[in-house]
Amino acid sequence: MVVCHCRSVNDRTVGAAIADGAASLEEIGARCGAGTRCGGCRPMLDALLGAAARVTATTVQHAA
Amino acid sequence: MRGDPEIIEMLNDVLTAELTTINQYFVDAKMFANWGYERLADKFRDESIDEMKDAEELIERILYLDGTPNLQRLNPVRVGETPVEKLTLALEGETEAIDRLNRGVALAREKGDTGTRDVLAEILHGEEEFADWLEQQFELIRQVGDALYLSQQIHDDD
Repeated sequence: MVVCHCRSVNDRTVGAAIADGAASLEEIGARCGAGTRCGGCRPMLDALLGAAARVTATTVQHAA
Repeated sequence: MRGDPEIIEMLNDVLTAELTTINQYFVDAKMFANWGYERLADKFRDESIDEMKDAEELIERILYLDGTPNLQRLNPVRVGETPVEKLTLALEGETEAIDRLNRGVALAREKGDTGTRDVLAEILHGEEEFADWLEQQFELIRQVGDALYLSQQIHDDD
């Protein structure tokens, strides 16, 4: 799915940026450009950050 | 007629979702056509125009209730990058729409606003029909496979 329409960045690229350590909208933007123009996709980027954080929390919980 | 503010807010939420899907299905239609899937292009173009007619009904209802229709706000437009992803995102959106409309119908009933209830119920039937069509496509894909399904989408119905 295309997440950032201005910079043409899809969800996989954003996911890769998050997996690479991006933990804020600014860090996602710095890595792949998503959310750096009109800002319309920022709620979606927030949701992707939130989903990644939940997955990490669950994984940590299962690992413990 | 001065309408209930909660009803107007709910109608505007439904309107935002309709305006979003007008754009989503329109770009889907154009991308399907660009890829050569004429049948899917026609279907999504028709759906986009149906959503615009729904938006028209909602705008008229909001104005009738002396509210301000919000045409400035859009939800994220979910543009899939493959035909199957587009169908998946459309079904995701339709499922949310059906839920939102059912909640709207319940609110309108609770407030005794039968006119609004009827407008929402009419839109709901349309969304259920498209959701049913989308589910059929997934059943077809399951039975015949992606490649055979997609090969049937290259020509339009005429």
